Amino acid sequence: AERVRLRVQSGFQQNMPVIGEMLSRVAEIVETGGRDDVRLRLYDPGKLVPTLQIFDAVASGKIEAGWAWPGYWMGKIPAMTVFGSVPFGPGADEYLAWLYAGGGLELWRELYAPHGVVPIPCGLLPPEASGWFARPIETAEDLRGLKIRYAGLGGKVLERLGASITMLAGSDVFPSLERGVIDATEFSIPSVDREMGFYKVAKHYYFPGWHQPGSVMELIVHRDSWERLSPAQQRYLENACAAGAAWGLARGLATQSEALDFFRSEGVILHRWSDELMQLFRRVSAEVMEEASASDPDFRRVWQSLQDFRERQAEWRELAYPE
Amino acid sequence: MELDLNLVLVLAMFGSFVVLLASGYPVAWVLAGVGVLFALIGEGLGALGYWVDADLLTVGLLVERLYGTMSSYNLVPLPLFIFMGHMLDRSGIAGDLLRAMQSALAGVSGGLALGVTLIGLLLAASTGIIGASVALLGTLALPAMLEDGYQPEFAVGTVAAAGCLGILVPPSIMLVLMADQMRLAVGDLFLGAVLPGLVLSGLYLVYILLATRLRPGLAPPARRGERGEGSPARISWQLARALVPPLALILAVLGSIFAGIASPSEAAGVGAAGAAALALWRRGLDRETLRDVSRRTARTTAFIFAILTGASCFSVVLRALGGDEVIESAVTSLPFGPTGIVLFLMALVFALGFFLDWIEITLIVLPLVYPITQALGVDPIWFTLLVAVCLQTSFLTPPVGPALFYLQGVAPPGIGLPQLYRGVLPFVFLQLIGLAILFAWPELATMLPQWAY
Amino acid sequence: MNGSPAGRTLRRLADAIDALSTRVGEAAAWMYPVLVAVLIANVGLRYGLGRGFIELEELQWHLFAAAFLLGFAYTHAADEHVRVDLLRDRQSERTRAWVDLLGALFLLLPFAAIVSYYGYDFFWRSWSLRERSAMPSGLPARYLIKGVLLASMLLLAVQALGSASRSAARLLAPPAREPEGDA
Ligand code: NA
Ligand code: NA
Repeated sequence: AERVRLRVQSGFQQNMPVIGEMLSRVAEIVETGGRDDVRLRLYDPGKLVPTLQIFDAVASGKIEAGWAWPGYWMGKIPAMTVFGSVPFGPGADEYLAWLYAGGGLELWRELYAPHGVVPIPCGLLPPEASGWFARPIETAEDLRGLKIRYAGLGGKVLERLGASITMLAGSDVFPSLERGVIDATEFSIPSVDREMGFYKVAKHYYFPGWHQPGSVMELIVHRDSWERLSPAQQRYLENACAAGAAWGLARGLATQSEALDFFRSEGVILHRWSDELMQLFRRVSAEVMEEASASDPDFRRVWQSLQDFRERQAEWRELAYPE
Repeated sequence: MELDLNLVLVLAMFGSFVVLLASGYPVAWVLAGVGVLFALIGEGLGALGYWVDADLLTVGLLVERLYGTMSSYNLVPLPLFIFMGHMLDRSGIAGDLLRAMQSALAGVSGGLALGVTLIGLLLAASTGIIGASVALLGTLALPAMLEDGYQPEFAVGTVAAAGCLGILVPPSIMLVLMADQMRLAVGDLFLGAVLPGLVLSGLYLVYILLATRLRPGLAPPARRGERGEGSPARISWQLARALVPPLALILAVLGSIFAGIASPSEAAGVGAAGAAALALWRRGLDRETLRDVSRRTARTTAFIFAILTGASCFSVVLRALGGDEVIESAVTSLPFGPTGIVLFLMALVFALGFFLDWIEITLIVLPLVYPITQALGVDPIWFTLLVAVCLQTSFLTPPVGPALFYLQGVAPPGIGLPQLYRGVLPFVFLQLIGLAILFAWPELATMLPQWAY
Repeated sequence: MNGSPAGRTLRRLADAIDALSTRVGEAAAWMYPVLVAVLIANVGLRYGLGRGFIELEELQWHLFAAAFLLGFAYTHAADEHVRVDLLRDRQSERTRAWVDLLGALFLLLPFAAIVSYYGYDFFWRSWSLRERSAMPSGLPARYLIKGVLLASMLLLAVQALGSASRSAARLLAPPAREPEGDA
């Protein structure tokens, strides 16, 4: 087959714990996995295009591939967030089941096809933390008037509960939290949050990350570049992604307690949301998802597929898992 | 073989850039055009069967990159600070300040020169549109200094150097742009620049005091009676009236960033609105003024963003060809160690400052240098402020010294470039001392941002 | 004042294009005071009502982006883009006209044309999806600001032609009768 080198614009710095490492691992597997006719050339965010512009750049064929979180394209294809993560949605294992064995991936491919983009699931993450708060949040009343940087549908839920969601440049998040321009922010899993340094300026760290119980990352490839690959090369890439995702999830699961120990030593207080607040989040999340479904047919279709799949598995999960 | 062709193209890109830049065509379009031309060359060579990593699609990425600039919150403060600067320029506060300083410092030898330096520091609120503050001081203060019998070289040197303080002392549009390039928080860079800015103005003040004491001929004291007549109380009142508005404005902008009341964009908005309020109070802000300030803001912002866009076009093609890796490995393989490499980069920026403006250097050199400083583990705030002081100096260095150019435009007849060159020389020397101090004590840059946490 | 009829036509074309760019740019310049007002409103609402509006925050960058993009051609018409003056100060009027003519045709025009070409595709993708903000409470109609990107680059391409016409007219005019300074 033809020798190919895909330029991959990543949405995350390669040195970012777990997330960035995962893509580097995929590239390494491609390089050392036995074929010498496929290579990935990785670019840190902004090197070719900024993170939020990756989809357009790949769709128009200007770069061959990108690696990011599907929820970033919500403004274009609202349903995309369902593949990336949803409030009170599946964890990594359940996502895997739905995507590979429950029809999820077929839907995903179908939704990207009109854009000339081929998706490959290429990363899995454990539950995120719920974020850093300047003050403890005990009741729904404490959320009222809070200035928060919170992405996606989770932000919408908090907005419903009276918080103000605000947008800031990435480099301004930390000083804004420090100086009180914002009262809270969420970012990612603890080991990644550690690198962002939020523990220095906000001491209340909340769990569970109901807004993002599990996350899926994608490698998106321009259709022409994909079709130029031989079927064997295509399988090779898919397998590298699957292996990289497994490695990333393993690493993600294995490194969080270390981060928690570190936070504790820095005087961070680890909180769990009260049952009452969790019920509130769950109820409002359901409303928000219902509205998103009502306003977009594709969203409804994908959301329905995921819901049906989870309902079918519910009995078995209840029986099979010890808790 | 493949790599060689790309490398040849990288070198040719830099070569054509330098040659076309010298032609005098606008820098923004030279950068953009060279990017496009080399993408076309890559396209052509690709069609001939050569392996080249840049083609027309590479330039197509500019659309996504430009949209990234449009939709980022990093640079929103920039036009607002420009608006603020142009508005302050129209408010007449500089004239008030000068008159007040003249009265207060009459009788002190070199008093006017000290006053000009302090005004330069206060005009920091004018956010670093150097043309404005240098021209302003040149129009207002220079004739008075010459009338008092100041040595012309000393007078122009003081005015040029004082007018340039505003580019370093926050708020500063240069620092906003640098923060974006170095992925730093604007507020941190502003905080970091406070002490270096004070050190430099302190050096100016000490120099003026010493020089005028040692050589009284440089700056005879103003004759009381001609100006500055009035009781001490009256003079104090006049001084307070002139000082409070700009101080309040600086405090509002920096205070709201540092105290966490507002994001940098919002603080810049507050500054712009405050400057408009000041203009309203001082002169009555009419529709004409607002229109004029808006249009000036539009043109200043446009030329900065045009260079940003052109540089983005140039660099995406350069990067596709592997050019930035070539540069990074060339610089990091220098046998100097981190400190030596920082010194080398400073010397490079200083040398480029003879020929290029701060905008080009910030937008072309900083993106290339950013990964190097990361690899070296250098404190980014310190490094960025070293570059900022170098670029502040470049305003004063011939042959392309914007401050000299602006001052020449407004100076009285008989003051030409030779006087200007001689006049700024001591101040360039002071800048280098300031640079050395900042180099030796990085804490000057890092202390305040760290202390804030 | 002008020599040949061709020179006159070129100059009239250049004047018309400059007038267009200037009109658009001057209209867009009003977005800056509006931006100041939006920011003040944003701060006021947050401290006054205790709530922020993502729509207002997104409006900030929309205004900022539209204003700087539509200023490109305007600033070119005003000849205020930064040049390196080192050699230009020593060039004759004719040399400058040549530099401006060749620069407009081989640097500015290809750039503006090619970015317009890709910008059209960029706009079209957004329009066909009726793209909106990725923030659930953000602004709709993202394609509008992408349309401004396209419009600004088309205007810049036209401005390149205008400025090429002006330089060509200068070269056509007999040097002796050439007016002092820029038009
Ligand atoms: Na300043
Ligand atoms: Na210089």
